[in-house]
Amino acid sequence: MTTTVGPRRSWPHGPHTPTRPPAPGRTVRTARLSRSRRDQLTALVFLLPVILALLGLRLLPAVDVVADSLRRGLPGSGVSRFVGIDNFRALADSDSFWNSVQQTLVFNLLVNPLQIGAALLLAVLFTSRLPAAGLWRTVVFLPSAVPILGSTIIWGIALRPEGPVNGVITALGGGPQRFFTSPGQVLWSLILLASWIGIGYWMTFLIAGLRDIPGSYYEAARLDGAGALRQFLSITLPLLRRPLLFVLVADTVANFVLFAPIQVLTDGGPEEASNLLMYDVFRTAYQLSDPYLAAAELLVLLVLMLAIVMVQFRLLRESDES
Amino acid sequence: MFRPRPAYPLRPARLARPAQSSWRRAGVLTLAAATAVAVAACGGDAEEEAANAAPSLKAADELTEPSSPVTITYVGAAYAAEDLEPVFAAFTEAHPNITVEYESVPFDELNNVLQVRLDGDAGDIDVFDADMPRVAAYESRGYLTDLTPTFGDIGDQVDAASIDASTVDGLLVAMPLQTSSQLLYYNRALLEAAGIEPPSADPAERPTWEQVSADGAKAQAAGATWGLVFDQLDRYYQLQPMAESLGGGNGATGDGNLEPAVNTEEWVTAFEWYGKQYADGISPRGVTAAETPELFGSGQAAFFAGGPWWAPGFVENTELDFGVAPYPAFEGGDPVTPTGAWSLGLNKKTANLDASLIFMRFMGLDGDGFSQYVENIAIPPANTAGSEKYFEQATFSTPQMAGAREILANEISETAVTRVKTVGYIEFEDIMGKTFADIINGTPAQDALDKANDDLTTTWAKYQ
Repeated sequence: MTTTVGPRRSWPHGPHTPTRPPAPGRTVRTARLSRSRRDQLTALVFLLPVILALLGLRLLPAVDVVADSLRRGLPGSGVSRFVGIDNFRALADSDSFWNSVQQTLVFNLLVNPLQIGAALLLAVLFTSRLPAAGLWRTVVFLPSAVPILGSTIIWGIALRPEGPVNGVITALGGGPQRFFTSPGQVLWSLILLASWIGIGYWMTFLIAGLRDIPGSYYEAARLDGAGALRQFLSITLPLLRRPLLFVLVADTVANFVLFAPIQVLTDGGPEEASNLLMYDVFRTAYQLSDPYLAAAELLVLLVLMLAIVMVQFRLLRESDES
Repeated sequence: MFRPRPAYPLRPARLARPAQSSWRRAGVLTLAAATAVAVAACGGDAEEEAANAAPSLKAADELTEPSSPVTITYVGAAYAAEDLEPVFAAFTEAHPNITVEYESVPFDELNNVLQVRLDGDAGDIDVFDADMPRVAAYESRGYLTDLTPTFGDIGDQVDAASIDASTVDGLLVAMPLQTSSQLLYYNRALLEAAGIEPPSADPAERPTWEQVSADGAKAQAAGATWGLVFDQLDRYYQLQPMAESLGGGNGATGDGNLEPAVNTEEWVTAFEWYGKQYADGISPRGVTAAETPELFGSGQAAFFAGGPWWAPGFVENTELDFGVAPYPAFEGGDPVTPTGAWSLGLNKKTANLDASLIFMRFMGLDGDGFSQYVENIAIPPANTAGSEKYFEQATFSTPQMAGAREILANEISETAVTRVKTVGYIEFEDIMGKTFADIINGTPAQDALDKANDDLTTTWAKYQ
């Protein structure tokens, strides 16, 4: 819509004419062009630091990773040669790599639904009329304010075979568990640790989303006789789709690159059961000094993650359109 | 210290974008990938080779003191910074224009730190600690400088095993600083409570692993939390003697020690025994090497197989009633003890060549070497004169450490075996560490060692 400065009627040229006095047409266009160019220039100056940072910190390293993944050299020699897709072939032939892929997928398949389900449940609980809800919210959120390394060390001690958690289990009549020292329990122990940190964090986004749903919808539903479950399924879930999508994607990414607890507590073991891809990339690059193979592995991790995130976007968008 | 960014909290703004931009981003990535292929195809190998060229070194007596103040950067993992402060103070007093900036790095991180910082073109590190078994690997990676032109033959000042461990292809590539050995500490009070006679300090009456394990279990029955705790419980340094004691060799054979041999009968027997200690609850699962000395120090363990460097701390704790015995061997097996420690490497790309060499000479050779300035020398120096002074320290005159001097002197000359010398040592150490951790956690020794042998074969293929 055109904004007018003075009364439109004073200009006899109709609705599409400029709102300023009609000085010679050419001058108007030049003035406008130079103004828009000036705007562009200003914008560019303001954006330049960010663009440079993006190029230097995101795009160049990405290009570097792709370049490295196609080269090979003796560890640390600094001399490398172009080998095409040999590194990817080596990965495809490695049982250890496929084990890492499998463990990463299993871990994410378990941890993400679990964390988001729990975060959603708590968010709904803490936005309903609950005594001292603010206090509970803080208690649940608190772990995400602790640096991940701190939480890792605390859980490492708590879940030791002779640690306090086993003390409680034994006192309750159960047998002691192996946790981080058992190939069968290590992923679950990592899930417990990651969820202790993550659930409260993701919950806050969902609480914000729940707050945005107008209360009148629920009132109307109650008048129509809808129960709590019906209200949750027909009002809460559909209207929470956007924050839920964000939490789903961000949580998936965070869990795909989970690193500190593995580096500190398990070193990928026992029996490589917690050798998730992100840790294996680090190990290949820095422990085994093979940055080229690690670059190839990192690309696989990125492609895997991007594919899953895109599927998530598509799924939620489709249900949005329907 | 290099640590990747933790996963939480993640900034929401980056990801809360509509789906379309992801597809567009994918397009950009494809473009980037195409560019990268072009870049990669014409990489500059010659340039990189030129950067690795060795500097030319002067003879030791021709080194020139800098005429203006310089600072050399020393990255180390052997000592805490405060332990070395008097050494650096003495150095700067003798060489007023050279200041040493010491960066202490945790042992487990040293490889990563060196790799990141020595691979670049900048010489931001001048000298660094090189673990002796890693010397060959560091040399093949181009991290080290041939020191022979400056230091030549140092055999009259430094012990032969340490020189050998710092030599590659006949060239001295690092300055030996220390050597090492191990002891068996025992908690006298816990043994007495169980009615166990403490082991003798005489190397001729060396305890056996079988006996120590049985006594440890007895002590546990009488109140000890742990029977036997190993210091570096998942490291090759600590555990190599087990296989060697049964005649299993150091783990590698063949040209350049690049054929793994860690699943031989002797290795499997030794580590079946080792795994059993953890399965039976005599030794603790779920603790890291950093936490084990504390288990003995706090009086929880009957036996502790560990380094003499823990002794000053144990002696300080007046409530801890302990004694020492020689490092055990298997029944009927050879007495074998770990050895090797730290040497000092020189970065090829250093901008302070002479100052760094003057510092290395000071640390290893001037007088008795660095150890003459250290209050409590924890680890025996490689400098022979320094080594004599090491044993004169107060710690060794305490009743708790009775016999330690004789034990260590005997082990260093009689029973010490060096770790395997190979360019593939860093991978070897990493894979064996994980293997030992698996054995501790209950993987059958045969399976774990078979897998280690396969993994080593794969990862060493690149050096063949």
